[in-house]
Amino acid sequence: MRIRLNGREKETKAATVLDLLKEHALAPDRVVVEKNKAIVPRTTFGDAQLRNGDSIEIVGMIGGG
Amino acid sequence: MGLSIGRYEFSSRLFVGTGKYETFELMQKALVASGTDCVTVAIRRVNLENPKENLINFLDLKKYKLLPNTAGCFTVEDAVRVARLAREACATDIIKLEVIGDQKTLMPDTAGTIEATRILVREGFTVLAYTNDDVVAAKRLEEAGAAAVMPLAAPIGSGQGILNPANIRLILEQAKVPVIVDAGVGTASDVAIAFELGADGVLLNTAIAKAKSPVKMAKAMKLAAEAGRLAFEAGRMPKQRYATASSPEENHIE
Repeated sequence: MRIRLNGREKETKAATVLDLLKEHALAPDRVVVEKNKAIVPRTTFGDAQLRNGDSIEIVGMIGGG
Repeated sequence: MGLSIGRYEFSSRLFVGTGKYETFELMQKALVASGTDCVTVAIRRVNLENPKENLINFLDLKKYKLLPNTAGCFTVEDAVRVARLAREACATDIIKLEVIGDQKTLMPDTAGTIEATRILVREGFTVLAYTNDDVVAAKRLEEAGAAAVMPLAAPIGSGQGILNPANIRLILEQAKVPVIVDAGVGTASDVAIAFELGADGVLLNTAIAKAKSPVKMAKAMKLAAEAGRLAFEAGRMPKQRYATASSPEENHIE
Protein backbone atom coordinates (compact mmCIF):
# COMPACT_ATOMS: atom_id res chain seq x y z
CA MET A 1 0.00 0.00 0.00
CA ARG A 2 1.17 3.55 -0.68
CA ILE A 3 0.89 6.30 1.91
CA ARG A 4 2.27 9.77 2.27
CA LEU A 5 4.63 9.76 5.27
CA ASN A 6 6.10 13.04 6.52
CA GLY A 7 5.56 14.55 3.10
CA ARG A 8 7.00 11.68 1.05
CA GLU A 9 5.28 8.93 -0.92
CA LYS A 10 6.09 5.62 0.73
CA GLU A 11 5.35 1.94 0.20
CA THR A 12 4.47 0.17 3.46
CA LYS A 13 3.32 -3.21 4.68
CA ALA A 14 2.09 -1.72 7.98
CA ALA A 15 -1.59 -2.32 8.64
CA THR A 16 -1.84 0.03 11.62
CA VAL A 17 -0.14 3.15 12.95
CA LEU A 18 1.65 0.98 15.54
CA ASP A 19 3.03 -1.28 12.76
CA LEU A 20 4.26 1.79 10.92
CA LEU A 21 6.12 3.04 14.00
CA LYS A 22 7.70 -0.41 14.45
CA GLU A 23 8.70 -0.42 10.79
CA HIS A 24 10.72 2.75 11.50
CA ALA A 25 12.00 1.69 14.95
CA LEU A 26 10.14 4.55 16.63
CA ALA A 27 9.08 4.32 20.28
CA PRO A 28 5.31 5.00 20.44
CA ASP A 29 5.64 7.02 23.65
CA ARG A 30 8.05 9.50 22.04
CA VAL A 31 6.07 10.59 19.01
CA VAL A 32 2.74 12.04 17.99
CA VAL A 33 0.95 10.78 14.91
CA GLU A 34 -1.43 12.71 12.72
CA LYS A 35 -3.54 10.79 10.21
CA ASN A 36 -5.14 12.94 7.52
CA LYS A 37 -4.65 15.98 9.80
CA ALA A 38 -6.38 14.41 12.83
CA ILE A 39 -4.28 13.42 15.84
CA VAL A 40 -4.33 9.69 16.55
CA PRO A 41 -4.55 9.19 20.33
CA ARG A 42 -1.51 7.24 21.57
CA THR A 43 -3.72 4.60 23.21
CA THR A 44 -5.29 3.77 19.84
CA PHE A 45 -2.10 3.38 17.74
CA GLY A 46 -2.67 -0.39 17.54
CA ASP A 47 -6.26 0.02 16.34
CA ALA A 48 -5.70 2.85 13.88
CA GLN A 49 -5.88 1.17 10.46
CA LEU A 50 -3.89 2.53 7.53
CA ARG A 51 -5.50 2.86 4.13
CA ASN A 52 -4.03 3.41 0.71
CA GLY A 53 -3.48 7.14 0.16
CA ASP A 54 -3.48 8.10 3.87
CA SER A 55 -1.38 11.08 4.77
CA ILE A 56 0.59 10.44 7.95
CA GLU A 57 2.72 12.86 9.92
CA ILE A 58 4.98 11.54 12.67
CA VAL A 59 6.28 14.38 14.80
CA GLY A 60 8.24 14.81 17.99
CA MET A 61 10.06 17.46 19.94
CA ILE A 62 13.34 18.93 18.78
CA GLY A 63 15.56 21.73 20.06
CA GLY A 64 14.03 25.19 19.81
CA GLY A 65 13.64 28.51 21.53
CA MET B 1 12.50 33.93 43.14
CA GLY B 2 9.47 31.81 42.09
CA LEU B 3 6.99 32.62 39.35
CA SER B 4 3.44 31.40 38.61
CA ILE B 5 1.84 31.40 35.17
CA GLY B 6 -1.71 30.09 35.16
CA ARG B 7 -1.50 26.89 37.17
CA TYR B 8 2.20 26.38 36.42
CA GLU B 9 4.90 27.19 38.98
CA PHE B 10 8.53 27.89 38.17
CA SER B 11 11.42 28.10 40.61
CA SER B 12 13.62 30.06 38.17
CA ARG B 13 12.56 33.16 36.24
CA LEU B 14 14.81 32.20 33.36
CA PHE B 15 13.37 30.16 30.49
CA VAL B 16 15.99 28.59 28.26
CA GLY B 17 15.70 27.25 24.72
CA THR B 18 17.16 23.95 23.55
CA GLY B 19 18.00 24.91 19.96
CA LYS B 20 21.28 25.62 18.14
CA TYR B 21 23.74 23.91 20.52
CA GLU B 22 26.75 22.19 18.96
CA THR B 23 25.89 18.98 20.82
CA PHE B 24 23.17 17.69 23.14
CA GLU B 25 25.83 17.20 25.85
CA LEU B 26 26.77 20.88 25.68
CA MET B 27 23.09 21.80 25.89
CA GLN B 28 22.70 19.67 29.02
CA LYS B 29 25.63 21.41 30.75
CA ALA B 30 24.41 24.87 29.74
CA LEU B 31 20.91 24.15 31.05
CA VAL B 32 22.33 23.09 34.41
CA ALA B 33 24.51 26.23 34.60
CA SER B 34 21.52 28.48 33.80
CA GLY B 35 19.59 27.21 36.81
CA THR B 36 16.39 27.06 34.74
CA ASP B 37 13.60 24.61 35.44
CA CYS B 38 11.74 25.24 32.20
CA VAL B 39 13.04 24.62 28.70
CA THR B 40 11.45 25.42 25.36
CA VAL B 41 11.21 22.86 22.58
CA ALA B 42 9.95 22.89 19.01
CA ILE B 43 7.70 20.37 17.28
CA ARG B 44 8.85 18.95 13.95
CA ARG B 45 8.69 15.84 11.81
CA VAL B 46 10.68 12.98 13.33
CA ASN B 47 13.92 12.11 11.56
CA LEU B 48 12.95 8.73 10.14
CA GLU B 49 16.55 7.92 9.16
CA ASN B 50 18.05 8.47 12.61
CA PRO B 51 15.36 8.12 15.31
CA LYS B 52 17.93 7.81 18.14
CA GLU B 53 19.07 11.43 17.82
CA ASN B 54 16.04 12.58 19.75
CA LEU B 55 16.16 15.57 22.08
CA ILE B 56 13.93 13.82 24.57
CA ASN B 57 16.74 11.33 25.30
CA PHE B 58 18.85 14.23 26.57
CA LEU B 59 16.32 16.05 28.77
CA ASP B 60 15.69 15.05 32.38
CA LEU B 61 11.95 15.52 32.57
CA LYS B 62 12.01 15.20 36.36
CA LYS B 63 14.12 18.35 36.42
CA TYR B 64 12.72 20.42 33.56
CA LYS B 65 9.20 21.46 32.66
CA LEU B 66 8.64 21.57 28.92
CA LEU B 67 7.40 24.69 27.19
CA PRO B 68 6.70 23.72 23.57
CA ASN B 69 6.49 26.47 20.97
CA THR B 70 4.75 26.98 17.65
CA ALA B 71 7.88 28.41 16.03
CA GLY B 72 7.83 28.50 12.26
CA CYS B 73 4.05 28.91 12.03
CA PHE B 74 2.91 31.69 9.74
CA THR B 75 -0.85 31.19 9.98
CA VAL B 76 -3.38 30.85 12.80
CA GLU B 77 -4.36 27.42 11.46
CA ASP B 78 -0.77 26.12 11.52
CA ALA B 79 -0.09 27.50 14.99
CA VAL B 80 -3.24 25.88 16.40
CA ARG B 81 -2.39 22.58 14.70
CA VAL B 82 1.17 22.59 16.08
CA ALA B 83 -0.09 23.53 19.56
CA ARG B 84 -2.38 20.49 19.54
CA LEU B 85 0.51 18.24 18.44
CA ALA B 86 2.71 19.80 21.13
CA ARG B 87 0.12 19.01 23.80
CA GLU B 88 0.31 15.34 22.81
CA ALA B 89 4.08 15.26 22.32
CA CYS B 90 4.96 16.99 25.59
CA ALA B 91 1.98 15.94 27.73
CA THR B 92 1.37 19.55 28.73
CA ASP B 93 -1.20 22.19 27.87
CA ILE B 94 1.22 25.10 28.24
CA ILE B 95 2.25 26.59 24.90
CA LYS B 96 4.52 29.38 23.76
CA LEU B 97 2.39 30.69 20.93
CA GLU B 98 4.17 32.20 17.95
CA VAL B 99 2.37 33.32 14.83
CA ILE B 100 5.06 34.84 12.68
CA GLY B 101 4.24 37.52 10.14
CA ASP B 102 7.48 38.07 8.27
CA GLN B 103 10.19 35.62 7.20
CA LYS B 104 13.12 38.02 7.33
CA THR B 105 12.48 39.66 10.70
CA LEU B 106 10.40 36.87 12.28
CA MET B 107 8.25 39.63 13.72
CA PRO B 108 4.97 38.40 15.20
CA ASP B 109 1.66 38.65 13.37
CA THR B 110 -0.20 40.36 16.19
CA ALA B 111 -3.72 39.93 14.79
CA GLY B 112 -3.05 36.25 14.09
CA THR B 113 -1.58 35.73 17.55
CA ILE B 114 -4.66 37.24 19.22
CA GLU B 115 -6.97 35.02 17.15
CA ALA B 116 -4.93 31.88 17.86
CA THR B 117 -4.83 32.76 21.57
CA ARG B 118 -8.65 32.89 21.66
CA ILE B 119 -8.94 29.47 20.01
CA LEU B 120 -6.31 27.79 22.19
CA VAL B 121 -7.61 29.26 25.45
CA ARG B 122 -11.05 27.88 24.57
CA GLU B 123 -9.39 24.47 24.16
CA GLY B 124 -7.88 24.68 27.64
CA PHE B 125 -4.34 25.72 26.78
CA THR B 126 -2.22 27.93 29.02
CA VAL B 127 -1.07 30.38 26.37
CA LEU B 128 2.17 32.36 26.62
CA ALA B 129 1.90 34.70 23.67
CA TYR B 130 4.99 35.92 21.83
CA THR B 131 4.29 39.49 20.78
CA ASN B 132 5.72 42.78 19.70
CA ASP B 133 6.78 45.33 22.34
CA ASP B 134 3.38 46.99 21.95
CA VAL B 135 1.24 47.79 24.98
CA VAL B 136 -2.02 47.59 23.02
CA ALA B 137 -1.16 44.18 21.56
CA ALA B 138 -0.34 43.00 25.08
CA LYS B 139 -3.73 44.22 26.34
CA ARG B 140 -5.59 42.49 23.51
CA LEU B 141 -3.74 39.24 24.18
CA GLU B 142 -4.62 39.49 27.84
CA GLU B 143 -8.28 40.03 26.93
CA ALA B 144 -8.08 37.00 24.63
CA GLY B 145 -7.05 34.93 27.64
CA ALA B 146 -3.26 34.75 27.43
CA ALA B 147 -1.76 33.55 30.73
CA ALA B 148 1.40 35.54 30.02
CA VAL B 149 2.58 37.96 27.36
CA MET B 150 6.05 37.69 25.87
CA PRO B 151 7.16 40.94 24.28
CA LEU B 152 10.33 40.75 22.23
CA ALA B 153 13.50 42.57 23.27
CA ALA B 154 14.67 42.53 19.62
CA PRO B 155 14.15 40.21 16.62
CA ILE B 156 14.52 36.48 17.39
CA GLY B 157 18.14 35.34 17.47
CA SER B 158 19.47 38.83 16.74
CA GLY B 159 21.25 39.38 20.06
CA GLN B 160 20.59 43.11 19.91
CA GLY B 161 19.33 43.40 23.49
CA ILE B 162 16.34 45.43 24.66
CA LEU B 163 15.84 47.89 21.81
CA ASN B 164 12.97 49.76 23.41
CA PRO B 165 12.99 49.61 27.20
CA ALA B 166 10.34 52.36 27.35
CA ASN B 167 7.87 50.12 25.50
CA ILE B 168 8.66 47.16 27.76
CA ARG B 169 8.05 49.41 30.77
CA LEU B 170 4.66 50.50 29.41
CA ILE B 171 3.63 46.86 29.03
CA LEU B 172 4.85 46.07 32.54
CA GLU B 173 2.89 48.97 34.02
CA GLN B 174 -0.39 47.86 32.48
CA ALA B 175 -0.20 44.07 32.33
CA LYS B 176 -2.27 42.02 34.77
CA VAL B 177 -0.58 38.77 33.69
CA PRO B 178 3.13 37.91 33.93
CA VAL B 179 5.37 39.53 31.33
CA ILE B 180 8.25 37.46 29.98
CA VAL B 181 10.78 39.29 27.84
CA ASP B 182 11.45 36.92 24.97
CA ALA B 183 13.82 36.98 22.01
CA GLY B 184 16.70 39.19 21.06
CA VAL B 185 18.68 39.04 24.30
CA GLY B 186 22.41 39.06 23.55
CA THR B 187 24.30 39.03 26.81
CA ALA B 188 23.96 39.09 30.59
CA SER B 189 23.37 42.84 30.96
CA ASP B 190 20.30 42.55 28.69
CA VAL B 191 18.81 40.05 31.14
CA ALA B 192 19.67 42.26 34.11
CA ILE B 193 17.99 45.26 32.44
CA ALA B 194 14.84 43.26 31.69
CA PHE B 195 14.52 42.28 35.35
CA GLU B 196 15.41 45.76 36.60
CA LEU B 197 12.53 47.09 34.50
CA GLY B 198 10.29 44.65 36.37
CA ALA B 199 9.93 41.77 33.92
CA ASP B 200 8.57 38.62 35.54
CA GLY B 201 10.80 36.39 33.44
CA VAL B 202 13.18 36.25 30.49
CA LEU B 203 13.29 33.62 27.76
CA LEU B 204 16.44 33.17 25.73
CA ASN B 205 18.20 30.62 23.58
CA THR B 206 20.70 31.87 21.01
CA ALA B 207 22.56 34.13 23.46
CA ILE B 208 23.62 31.01 25.35
CA ALA B 209 23.83 28.50 22.51
CA LYS B 210 25.95 30.73 20.27
CA ALA B 211 28.25 32.19 22.95
CA LYS B 212 31.88 31.04 22.67
CA SER B 213 31.36 29.22 25.94
CA PRO B 214 27.65 28.40 26.31
CA VAL B 215 28.16 27.03 29.83
CA LYS B 216 29.85 30.20 31.09
CA MET B 217 27.23 32.38 29.41
CA ALA B 218 24.46 30.31 30.95
CA LYS B 219 25.95 30.93 34.39
CA ALA B 220 26.26 34.65 33.57
CA MET B 221 22.57 34.71 32.60
CA LYS B 222 21.62 33.06 35.88
CA LEU B 223 23.57 35.61 37.91
CA ALA B 224 22.22 38.50 35.83
CA ALA B 225 18.66 37.32 36.38
CA GLU B 226 19.23 37.17 40.12
CA ALA B 227 21.00 40.53 40.22
CA GLY B 228 18.41 42.26 38.06
CA ARG B 229 15.48 40.88 40.01
CA LEU B 230 17.08 41.81 43.35
CA ALA B 231 17.76 45.34 42.09
CA PHE B 232 14.11 45.63 41.01
CA GLU B 233 12.88 44.42 44.39
CA ALA B 234 15.34 46.72 46.18
CA GLY B 235 13.96 49.72 44.28
CA ARG B 236 16.58 51.86 42.59
CA MET B 237 17.41 55.43 43.67
CA PRO B 238 15.97 58.16 41.49
CA LYS B 239 18.22 59.57 38.78
CA GLN B 240 19.35 63.16 39.40
CA ARG B 241 20.83 65.73 37.09
CA TYR B 242 23.56 66.97 39.44
CA ALA B 243 26.10 65.47 41.79
CA THR B 244 25.46 64.90 45.48
CA ALA B 245 28.58 64.14 47.50
CA SER B 246 28.75 60.73 49.08
CA SER B 247 31.25 61.88 51.72
CA PRO B 248 30.30 64.49 54.38
CA GLU B 249 30.69 68.10 53.18
CA GLU B 250 31.72 69.49 56.61
CA ASN B 251 34.92 69.27 58.72
CA HIS B 252 37.29 69.47 55.77
CA ILE B 253 40.92 70.23 56.69
CA GLU B 254 42.08 73.73 55.79
